[in-house]
Amino acid sequence: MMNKDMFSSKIKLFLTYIKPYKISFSIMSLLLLANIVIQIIQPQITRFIIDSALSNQSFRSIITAAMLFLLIVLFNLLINVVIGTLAETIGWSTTNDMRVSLFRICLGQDMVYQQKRTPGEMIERLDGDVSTLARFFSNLSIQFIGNALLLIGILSMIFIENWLVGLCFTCFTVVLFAIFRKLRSISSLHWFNYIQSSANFSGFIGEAVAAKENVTGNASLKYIIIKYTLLTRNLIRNQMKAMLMANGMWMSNILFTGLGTALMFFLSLFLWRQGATTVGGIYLLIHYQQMLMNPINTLRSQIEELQQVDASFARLSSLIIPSASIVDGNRKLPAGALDVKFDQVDFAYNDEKMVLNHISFHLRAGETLCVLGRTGSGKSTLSKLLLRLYDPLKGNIFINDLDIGLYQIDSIRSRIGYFNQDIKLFNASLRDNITLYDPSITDDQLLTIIDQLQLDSWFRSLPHGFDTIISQNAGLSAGEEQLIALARMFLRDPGMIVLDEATSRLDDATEYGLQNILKGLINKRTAIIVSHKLSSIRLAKYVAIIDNHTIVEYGEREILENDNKSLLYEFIHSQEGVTLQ
Amino acid sequence: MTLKAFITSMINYKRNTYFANIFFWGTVYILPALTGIINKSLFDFLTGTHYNGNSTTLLTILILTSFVQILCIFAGLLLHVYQDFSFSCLIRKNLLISYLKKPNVQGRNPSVGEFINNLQDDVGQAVGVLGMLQEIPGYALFSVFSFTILFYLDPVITLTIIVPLLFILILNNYLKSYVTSYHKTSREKTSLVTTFIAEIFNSVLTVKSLHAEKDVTEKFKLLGIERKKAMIKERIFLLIIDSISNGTVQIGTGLILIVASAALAKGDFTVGEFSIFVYYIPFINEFFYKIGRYYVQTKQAKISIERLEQLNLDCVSSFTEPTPLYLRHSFDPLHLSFKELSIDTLGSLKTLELQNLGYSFSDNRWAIRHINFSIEPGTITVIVGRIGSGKSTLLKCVAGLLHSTEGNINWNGTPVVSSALLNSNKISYTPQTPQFFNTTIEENIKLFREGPPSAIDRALYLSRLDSDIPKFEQGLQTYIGNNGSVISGGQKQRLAAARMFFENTDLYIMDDISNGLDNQTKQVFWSRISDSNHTFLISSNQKEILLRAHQIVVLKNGSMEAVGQLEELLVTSPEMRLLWLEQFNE
Repeated sequence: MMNKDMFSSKIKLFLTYIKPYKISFSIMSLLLLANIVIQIIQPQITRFIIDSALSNQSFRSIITAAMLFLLIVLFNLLINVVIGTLAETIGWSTTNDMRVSLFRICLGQDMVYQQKRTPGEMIERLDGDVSTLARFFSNLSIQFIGNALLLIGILSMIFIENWLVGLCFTCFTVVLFAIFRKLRSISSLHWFNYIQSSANFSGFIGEAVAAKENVTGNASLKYIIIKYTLLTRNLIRNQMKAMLMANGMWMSNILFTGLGTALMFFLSLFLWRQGATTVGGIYLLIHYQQMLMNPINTLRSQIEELQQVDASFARLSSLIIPSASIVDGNRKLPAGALDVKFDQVDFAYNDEKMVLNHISFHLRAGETLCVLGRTGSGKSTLSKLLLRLYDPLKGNIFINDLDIGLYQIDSIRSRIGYFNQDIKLFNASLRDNITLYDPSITDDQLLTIIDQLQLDSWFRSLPHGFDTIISQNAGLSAGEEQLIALARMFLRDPGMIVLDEATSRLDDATEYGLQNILKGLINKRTAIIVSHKLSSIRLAKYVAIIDNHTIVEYGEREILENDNKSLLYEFIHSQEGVTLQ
Repeated sequence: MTLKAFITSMINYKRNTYFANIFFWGTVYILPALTGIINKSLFDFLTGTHYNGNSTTLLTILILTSFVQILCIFAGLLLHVYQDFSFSCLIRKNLLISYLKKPNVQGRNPSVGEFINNLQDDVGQAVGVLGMLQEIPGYALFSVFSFTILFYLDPVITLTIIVPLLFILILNNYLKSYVTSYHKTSREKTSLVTTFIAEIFNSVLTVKSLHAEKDVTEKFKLLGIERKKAMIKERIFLLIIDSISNGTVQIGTGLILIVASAALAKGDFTVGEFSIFVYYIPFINEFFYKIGRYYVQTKQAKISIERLEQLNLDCVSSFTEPTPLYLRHSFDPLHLSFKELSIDTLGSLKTLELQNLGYSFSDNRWAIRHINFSIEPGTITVIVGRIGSGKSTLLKCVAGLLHSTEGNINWNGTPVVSSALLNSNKISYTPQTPQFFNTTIEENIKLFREGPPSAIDRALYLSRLDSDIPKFEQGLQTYIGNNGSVISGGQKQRLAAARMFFENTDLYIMDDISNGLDNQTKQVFWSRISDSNHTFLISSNQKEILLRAHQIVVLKNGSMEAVGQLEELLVTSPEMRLLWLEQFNE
């Protein structure tokens, strides 16, 4: 079932990626053509040798022919090395190009998209599928055409030798490919299922490895063994079906080789009896018939690869298409503190229950707002909307009086610093962990930040300074992770700051130590602090309390604090109640 | 583990399948020998020499051969897929289980991306050798058979074929050390790329919110270029070896053509004989060529086996140890006992004692040292201390996740090793940053464990998740997404707790669990825990739990400053006083 749109988009993709390498690609194609011509000529020389020998021609011309044969073989060998080298180079270059641009596209997708995909699945797509596809473009496509040409060449040579034999074998080849085509359409569904269950399996392996610390004892082990067994049972069934279907072509090929040889023997005998050919001629025909199976065989295995290419292409397309939900703007955010306004904003994840309902507030440049609310009340979603990780379902968000959608997402994310409790460290040097691979940042800049965060003594204890490799499971405490994350933000000097439960993983004592650093960060910047800690509330000028997905109280902190009918008053006193026990 | 030991243990594991495979594929490879003879007979018939038999018989044999070949391929394919799958399934399962069972060893823990990569490629590489090995007997038989026929026809010409082929063998043997080192580099570069993909897509929010997409992509590009260089080096080297092998063979054929055509002209050699030579030579060549490739592939497999062995943290049993896989037989998880599960060597908790416990990082810094205290059943012990004081390390040592460097952990008076703690069902542990499976809430809590219906209610109650479940439209059947991305941070913390409480264990260890919770939820959470009468070891500085603790251990810079109850510690321990006061100093 070759979809026409899919075909043309494949061609388009091919042209895009092969363009930078068009010279090497043309040289490779030419050499391949030479290689085909040589393969077709070779048997003619052998035929000449046989016929000359049998008709007692001069020994000298036979030797000359044999030497020519040898020379051609060596030349062909050289060509093969050059073709191989070019194919590898083009193959890897296009693979890399495609991988990088897909990486960029996938990374650019919104969070709804990211949540649906495990890192294991991304490896399968970006590594496995991209390799399959790029290999097809750079190598397989031209090999495929080359083999088709070789097939046509051989058939033409048989035609030239004898038109009847030529006709028989052309029909023979056509029938064979009709069968392949049929088999292929049956098996592509099986391939798709197989690849899908293989991706599920890899995704699970990733989760299983990450689960190590989570449930100790036999609990997680038993779960993982059972799940592993269920997934592998499913996988082997799909794999067997896919393999049998794919190899159905090979089996029919073997059968046809036998039938083809028999047919050729029969035709040769017939021609021999008619006196229409020489021994050399028969040798030539039989040799061509056996040669014919080579391109058919290769084409067959390449058709199998094409199935994988189709499947990879479909999966990669599904990786790219569903973006659309977030459209980039073209304005840039100005320097300095930002003015932020929410106007009747509604939001729900994946069309499920409302998470935010009619949220409205206005925060002028340099002011601080603290958002209070129970776990799951939707307060974390506020900040994700502000960063345009998601777009509101209804209502508008304005920054400096313009709709947030008008600004470049790049500009928004570089001017709004976002900080949450879920800190991810990379298995890389401390430098790369702070700069996130930005090579333009100097060590002096980093040292200033280390100084500001009062991290100097910790920094001095590291064995290799900024080159020390740190990682998620390298024994850093939550507080140290938090400070590395703060360093990331300091480096970017944002005009607005969103602290989303930033200190919630910290114990109160450590958080207390961080207060001055946070105060410095908030000073002269607009800030939203999502938290339920008293210490954080005291940093803010305004307080918004969210309950049941909507703002139930909003006002200046100092006024609400002293109003004994306010929710804030109740909240503060319920916290202090614990102290009084 | 040597390659030989690996191959032997794998063959022993599926002996019947393996030999049936050799039989079927052997038949497939040896049948073309018949075609060669038929070829010769045809030309003999045409030129009127040495012919006995008629053309119909020849054609019948030819067609029959193809049918037998197809049947063998069908059977061979099924067996081959089954065999390869069983081998890799077994190795992957063993490695996964050994990884989960063993306490962490400093510097030997692979990242998730690396682990997946090893399980994919290295297992494939190692198992691939077994399939290749199966092809050898068929090819060898074919070669011996055809070689005998050719030698009988013309010994001089036949021997001239052998010389170039021997040259190929020697060449391959000489070059294999290069192949190994090139392959090692390219595998390492590949693993860097895949690890990077996993890491970045695990941290998309971080990358996006810090607006680092561009730099991260640049880094990814660089890694790709490194990999490309290593890959092209390896591939081109292999290509040149291949071409030299191939070329030698082709030159051999050319030489034979010269010698044979001379003999042909003199009439010493028939066209039939000539045809069988030209027909067989490529097959014999292919055999020698395969042996050359086999050399290369075994070299690559050796590296993979080495890497798999490094991955196998379980030093006692090998990663090829047979275990049931249930690939063919029916599988009923509820009524099976899994022998892979560890034997719980601990008795019910009467007392747990930490004796001079210490843990040091790989750079010899002590994370914790000289820790002494004991835990009685039914009590709550809280570890307090600042960030970096060693709270998490201490909990991980008790949970058996880390192997303590010095001192003892005594369970009911007897010292126990970390793996016994880790694999015991008497201890449950929840880390600071919990991880989840991409499935329903219920499955994440139950993890296929058996338990009365009340167990899940109890788990939801103790974790204070009971009020959250009705908020989800699908309730317990809600899918939580990749690592719980659909639920909130506080819900994740409590889901992790619920998973722990599903089973009634003797000791619950919780690392800073309720920090992401709002005040009201936190109050209820801790009061339910303290009313539950279970034994707890908790790291937290929160006043709600400090007020309810039976015993508090104060850590400062990895050492124990004091141990006791809150009121006395507030008097005796300056660190405790500071930690306590700082909370109300706002």
